[in-house]
Amino acid sequence: MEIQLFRIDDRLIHGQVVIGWAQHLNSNTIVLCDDSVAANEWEKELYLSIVPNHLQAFVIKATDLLKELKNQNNNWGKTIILVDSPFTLEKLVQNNEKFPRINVGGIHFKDGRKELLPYLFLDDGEIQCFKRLMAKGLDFFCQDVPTAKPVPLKRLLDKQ
Amino acid sequence: MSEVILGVVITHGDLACSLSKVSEKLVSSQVKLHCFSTQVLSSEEIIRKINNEIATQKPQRILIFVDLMGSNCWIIGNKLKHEHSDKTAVVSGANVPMLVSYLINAPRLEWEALLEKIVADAKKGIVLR
Repeated sequence: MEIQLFRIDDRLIHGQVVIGWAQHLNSNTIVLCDDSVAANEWEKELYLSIVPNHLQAFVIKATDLLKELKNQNNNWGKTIILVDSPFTLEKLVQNNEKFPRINVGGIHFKDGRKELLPYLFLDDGEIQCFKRLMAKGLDFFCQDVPTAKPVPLKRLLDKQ
Repeated sequence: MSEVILGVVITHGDLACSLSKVSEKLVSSQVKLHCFSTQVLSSEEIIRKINNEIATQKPQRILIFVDLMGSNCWIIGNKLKHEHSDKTAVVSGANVPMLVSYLINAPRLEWEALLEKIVADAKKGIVLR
């Protein structure tokens, strides 16, 4: 079954995800795919501590998620998968696994990034990475919260 | 003042600076608050800016006010607490009574008493009639 929501969000698990999207979609599981958080027990506990009791949550490495995505027995229909950047997504896009339209929920400002939307700032490397993923057939829509209007990422990148 | 405290407010939207300005105006205190919004800046960038303040001011204590427990602001606060654990506290549910209490009491109370006082005053400010 198709993944309910695949989201790129540099804030990982936070209010927009657990209050906004999980409630809106009636999700039951959040999977945070992040090698750095998965390797740090303290940080993993910090993120898991903010997940409400009615949701299951897991923190896993990209290599482990890749194995799970290949397992045809897994049901992703009520699952939100979170990654922090297009680079993590790129690690997961290998063997034509079927991805839904990817939600770009937020990548925020730091030096070197330019503004595309109030919640989306990208540097040249990130733009090139998104373009590589689009060339592989992935489709992206930008939307921080469920009530916001979705914006196709391609339209923003075509202007760059 | 018993100790030099760096007071930092981190919230969603414009709330941090609005809360800080309103509270500072009410109290006319010499104690200052440093406000940060998560609206535009990445968590990494906010942490970097606060660490710069810490390096410049060399406070003995760091008190981080955030608006919502479990939010990205709270995550940032906790990452800073992890980095500066022995001298840092994170308090969620920041409101005007909490910040006013901090501005009034920071110069006169010891750290533990100050933390208890600001939390009590924040709760006291919530009244249903």
